[in-house]
Amino acid sequence: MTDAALAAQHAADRTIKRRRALFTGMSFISPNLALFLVFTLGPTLFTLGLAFFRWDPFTTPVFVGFENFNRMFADERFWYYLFNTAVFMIGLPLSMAGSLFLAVLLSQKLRGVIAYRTVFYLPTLTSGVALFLLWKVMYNKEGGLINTLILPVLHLFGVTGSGGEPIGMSEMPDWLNQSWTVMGIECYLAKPALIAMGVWAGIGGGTMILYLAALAGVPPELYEAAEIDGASRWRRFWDITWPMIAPTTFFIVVMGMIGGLQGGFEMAYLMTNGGPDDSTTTIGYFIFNKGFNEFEFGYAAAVSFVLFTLVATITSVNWRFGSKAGDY
Amino acid sequence: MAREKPSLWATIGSHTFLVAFGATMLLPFLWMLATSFKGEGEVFERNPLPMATSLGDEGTPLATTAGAPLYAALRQADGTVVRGEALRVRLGNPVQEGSKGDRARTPGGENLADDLGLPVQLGNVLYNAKDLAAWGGLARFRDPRVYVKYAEPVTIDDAFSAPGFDRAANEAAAQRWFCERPGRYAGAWNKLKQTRFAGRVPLMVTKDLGTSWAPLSGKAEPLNIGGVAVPNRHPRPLTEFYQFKNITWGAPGEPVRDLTLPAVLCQADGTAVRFEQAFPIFRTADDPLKADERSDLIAFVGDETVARPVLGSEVALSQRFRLVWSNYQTVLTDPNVKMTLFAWNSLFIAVCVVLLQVLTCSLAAFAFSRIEWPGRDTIFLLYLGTLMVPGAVTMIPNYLILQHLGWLNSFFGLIIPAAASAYGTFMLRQYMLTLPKGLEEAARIDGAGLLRVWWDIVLPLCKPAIITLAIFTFSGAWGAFTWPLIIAPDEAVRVLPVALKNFSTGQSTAYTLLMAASLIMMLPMLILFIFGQKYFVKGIQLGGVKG
Repeated sequence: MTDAALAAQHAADRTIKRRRALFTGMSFISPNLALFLVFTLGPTLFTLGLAFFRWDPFTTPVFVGFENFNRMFADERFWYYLFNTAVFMIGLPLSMAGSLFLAVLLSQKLRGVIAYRTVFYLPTLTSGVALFLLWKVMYNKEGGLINTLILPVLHLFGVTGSGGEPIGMSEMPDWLNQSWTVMGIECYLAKPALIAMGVWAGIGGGTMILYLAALAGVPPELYEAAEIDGASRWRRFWDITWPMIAPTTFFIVVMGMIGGLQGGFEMAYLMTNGGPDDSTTTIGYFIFNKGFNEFEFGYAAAVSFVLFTLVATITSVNWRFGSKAGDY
Repeated sequence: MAREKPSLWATIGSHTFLVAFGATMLLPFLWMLATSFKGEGEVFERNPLPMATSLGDEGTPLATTAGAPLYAALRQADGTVVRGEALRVRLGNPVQEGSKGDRARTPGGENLADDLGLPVQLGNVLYNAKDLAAWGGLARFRDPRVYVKYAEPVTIDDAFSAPGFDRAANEAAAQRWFCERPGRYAGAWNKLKQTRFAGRVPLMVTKDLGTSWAPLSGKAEPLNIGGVAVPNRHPRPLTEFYQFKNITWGAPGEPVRDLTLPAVLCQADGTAVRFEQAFPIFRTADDPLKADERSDLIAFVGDETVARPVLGSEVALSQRFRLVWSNYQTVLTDPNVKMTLFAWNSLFIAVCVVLLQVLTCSLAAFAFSRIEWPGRDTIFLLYLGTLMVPGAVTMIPNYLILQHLGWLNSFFGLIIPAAASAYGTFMLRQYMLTLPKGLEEAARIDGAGLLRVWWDIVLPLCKPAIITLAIFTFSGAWGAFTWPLIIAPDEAVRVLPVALKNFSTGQSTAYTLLMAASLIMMLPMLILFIFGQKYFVKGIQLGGVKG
């Protein structure tokens, strides 16, 4: 055989090998890939396309170009819902700070750490539906747990109601429905109430466990060295612990923002129906309503496409920023 | 900080804080537990523990909290009223089943008569079709008019506190009743709706106070408190409705006093309004008087009729600790609640999803980490990219796909889309990458196929990661709400979270059943967590592994 023939033979062999390798790989991945294409990648691309159509399930789709997007950006409500979504993310730094504090306490040599951890983790074990319905009852104005607990405290401090008598249950706040006008702006109590619920539910969950793991990964020699140098507890925390766990913090921020942007549907659906006056409607709830209550599939797709863009942007900006900040 | 032996004070401080914080975390759950053992009427009571409140045992004389005994008053044929027997507690459901208008009979077959000797008829049977389906109970309630014949529009909310009763249906019935009456009742409805239904404030509608009574006019009798006459200096505006929570209750012959003002109610001619007769409505053993519930007592004042509910808090009551196990019983065994069916549905779906996901994800992860093939990294990047696709994005297309396949309201629709996940693939791949390179080579030399290597060598080594993935997938599938809500509302394929939501419909919520069901639903996760703690922790950490 000539060299050329050998080379050709070689190339053919390589092609066969490549084909065989491709076949092997594909045969392993195919069940997963098929489902992935049909239920994840396909739908994502479909939504991208659908955003340019006007369509309800009873008519044929009409291509409308950017109409859905124009409508959305001109819609005050859309921006309000986006604002609401951002407001609900205030809970993220609060619960992160709490989680870190708990993790620092739990990473000491203490008895009963596992018991504490289990208790803190309880809300995460409870399904969202049960949790939201529970808190809806707890926020009940008359006789709900929150008001029942606050009332004696108010009495202790001598807070009086309208008649000069100790404040009564009927004068307590209606957490999920009440609002006040402060300087011309309507302030809804439901927002802080739901944020507080979110902090309660999130504080001892995955975030705390991530921080526990991160704290356990800090080399003890660093602390020993700092102790010899006479650094205070506080200094040791800021100069050693905080930089060492920065990657974890960064990861939690990214995941929390992604979750926060898409969140709020179950909460609004089960607790407030997005009210009062849409004050607890998030983008997630808006998409559901547009899609499955008003059957404006095209418009809902456009909104979810914007949501996707937001998530993608925040993720990539965060990763770029984060890869500078930490060694992640 | 980490692994540091804290000082004694730091230990005490930490424990104090952790216990206090733990209590804050636990409190809602303890409340949930207590509520799941309460009767429907005591959900919003202040008692932290489930308490049975009753007027007392059978035969106990009825008295006000002040100790004044309550008597029945008998109206004679000539219209005069004489004092009857002392009122005693009657317990036990005295009414046999029957249709509306039938004579009410005791379980023993005895005809019931009210205190005036008039026959008692069975009242409205109020229910709606939805409730019937949900609770299966034909909720039967006495028509209050039967018992409080002389004070027609009084208490319709006897029915309100009954378990499983649909408040909306009852309101509608009440509204119909009010709107059928001429004149003042129609107007009364709106007021009643606002105050009564919204706020649980005991409000009674009486005859036109404005015309026949002059409450607290200057002509009122001075009130005598402890021998000191208190002049009435607080004229009260005439209102069409008088809040009866604001008046005292007394034995027949006693004047009716205003609780908020030191004054006695008087009629237009200046004579005091006095109680003349009272009788209690029947109580049932499983529906005892609650602290804020009224037992209906009627007073006749001349030609006027005063319906005065005695609040549980005003009558001497007995309270005892009682667990209402029937909440759990209803949730678990009631054929119309069907929680058991929904629990099996949820379990079946969760187990299928876990098995399928472990299978597809571990196969794919194997291909992504342990086999070289062209295009591998491109496809893996695609997987990674979709990790950040919000669920809302794929919701509508997936709905359409399932509709096209005819998988709406089927187990396929609930299981198949969740049978593979980019997250699971990613997680298992990361784990498989940590296994040593030469691992499968020996097996390959022995002639084992890749499938064998995957099954015999890689899978056993990945056990921790697989258990972790299984736990997290199970947890996700067990609690999934939005997707099943959209695609599988039918009863045959309904899952627990959706069923849980159905305990709360429109205006009425079966709180006790909801709490019992929530706790039952928590149980598998709690057990899973207690036995698989280290995997939970590992799973969360694996989720954070560098990509």
